[in-house]
Amino acid sequence: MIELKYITKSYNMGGEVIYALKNINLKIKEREFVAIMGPSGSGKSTLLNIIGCLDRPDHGEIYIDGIKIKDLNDDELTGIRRDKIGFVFQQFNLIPLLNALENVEIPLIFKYRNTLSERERRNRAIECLRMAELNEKFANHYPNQLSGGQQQRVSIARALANNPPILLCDEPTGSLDSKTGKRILELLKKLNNNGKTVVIVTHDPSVAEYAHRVIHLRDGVISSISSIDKKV
Amino acid sequence: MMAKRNLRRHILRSALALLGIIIGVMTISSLGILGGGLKEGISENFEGMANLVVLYPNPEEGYSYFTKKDVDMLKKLKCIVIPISLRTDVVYIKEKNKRTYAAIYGIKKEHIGYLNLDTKSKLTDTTVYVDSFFANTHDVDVGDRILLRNISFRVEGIYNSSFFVISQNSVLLSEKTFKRFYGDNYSMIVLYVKNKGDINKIKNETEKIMNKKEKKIIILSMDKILQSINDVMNKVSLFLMGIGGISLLVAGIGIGNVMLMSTVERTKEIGVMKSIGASKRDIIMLFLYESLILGVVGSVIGVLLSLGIGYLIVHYVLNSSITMESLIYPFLGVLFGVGTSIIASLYPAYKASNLDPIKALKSD
Repeated sequence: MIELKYITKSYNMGGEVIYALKNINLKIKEREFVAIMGPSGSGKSTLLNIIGCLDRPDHGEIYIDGIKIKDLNDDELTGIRRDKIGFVFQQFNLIPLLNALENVEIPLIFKYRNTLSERERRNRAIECLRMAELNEKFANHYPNQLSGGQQQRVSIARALANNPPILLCDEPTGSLDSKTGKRILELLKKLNNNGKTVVIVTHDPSVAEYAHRVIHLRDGVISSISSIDKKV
Repeated sequence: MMAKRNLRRHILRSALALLGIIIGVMTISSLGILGGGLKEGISENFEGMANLVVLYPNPEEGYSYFTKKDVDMLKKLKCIVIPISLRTDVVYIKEKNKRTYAAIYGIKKEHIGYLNLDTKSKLTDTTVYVDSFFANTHDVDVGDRILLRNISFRVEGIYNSSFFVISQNSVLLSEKTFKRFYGDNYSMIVLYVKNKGDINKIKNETEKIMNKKEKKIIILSMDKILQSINDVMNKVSLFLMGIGGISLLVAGIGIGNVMLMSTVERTKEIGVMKSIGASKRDIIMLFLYESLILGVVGSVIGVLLSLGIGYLIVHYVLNSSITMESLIYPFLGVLFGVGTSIIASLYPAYKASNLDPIKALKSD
């Protein structure tokens, strides 16, 4: 599903070149649940950005769902982000002006513009909220009227809107208390069981309970990979 | 959907930007209507005079009046020759027991209709007309009596003076009455040319007849004057609209500022949208929609206000009516208003669409 070959990424910081990623090789299979862990500055966010097609590596190649990312222009890259990848952020990043349902509708608007009827769009968004296990009565609530856990569910529903095969989660439990965080991880696991490939960047060691593999990054290289469950 | 709410989020700021557009469009449109009304009002006064050629004796060559012979010479021309006499004299207004000066004109009864004097009644040898200025100043009404050289005349009608021919503060007598008092010299001759296209021909022929040896007369035709008045009025309109343009420019800067602040404030939001699949075009459209809403709403309000203001000014101050021609200005106003807001938001929209999503996501 995701394949990284010899990925290198460096930053120029005040004249000094810092390697965030050095020669990363990684294969993530379809329906796999992978956690990427490591201390701050280990390069895990950079890795996630590269997998998420927000950033391009200096060297190396990425394939997502068999598509060679290097060959794509910016618009095509946008298309990959829209159709293949669902993003879940630590800060939820919901749009405060829009209610829960409308937040979920946004990716649908970007994808279908006016070719999808308003009703159909609404129904799909409701379907996604249901998959994210948010009670329907919150559909018309605005982000500031929702708890952190509820907001994260809306953001997961938004990630599911265009039915992408991959969910990329950047510290999805980082802003939540441990109990709520656990519920979110359970939801992600359930989505994984239903066919999504899930990649999580996290500090949270409890993720290990849910992941098939935990990849440890240190100073831009993969220091260890622990496989918890080989049956993928 | 989002555009409207973003505008509502900063309702005060949006309202100020909107106000800028409203004022700009209103200024352009109402000044345009005003200019158009001004032009129309003046043209109305002159329109009936476009058929006239006015001849004055040339004082530089020592001529100060026309004689009967001059008039007869002009009768060869294919036009109506209207000799007009003029003196200034004391007028005694009986009802008010008041003495004043007025310009006294003498004209043949049958010629009055050609001079665009806006009067319908007929002149006789025992009646006079006074112009509206004279009537207003001295509170004279139809039926009042005035004395000229101790002979009493009934005021039969009131007319509006017409530029270059019959001046303000004037009294009109029949030619016969005039001759009784002042003799039979003429101060000017007006030629009424039925077909405006013949005016140049008539002028050339007049020149040949009258100015053979020396430049005896000065020839003035109203079409030239009308044209130069139109030119001036067009410039006035343009100038007035220029002022409107400046206020619209300021409004544009206001909108640009609102949009630019909006991009800075919404950096993170833009980053989120880009990461969940918004293309550059989506982001640009979002910003353009916002300013389009401001532009359209502001322009429409501005135009409605300007139609109201324009109507009031044109109707009550200029005493004329809004012409169809003037209605182009509200249209222009909307065009400029919407155009300005779109142009002003182009840069902010472009800037927002080019944000790096990673940096944008990190910002707060």
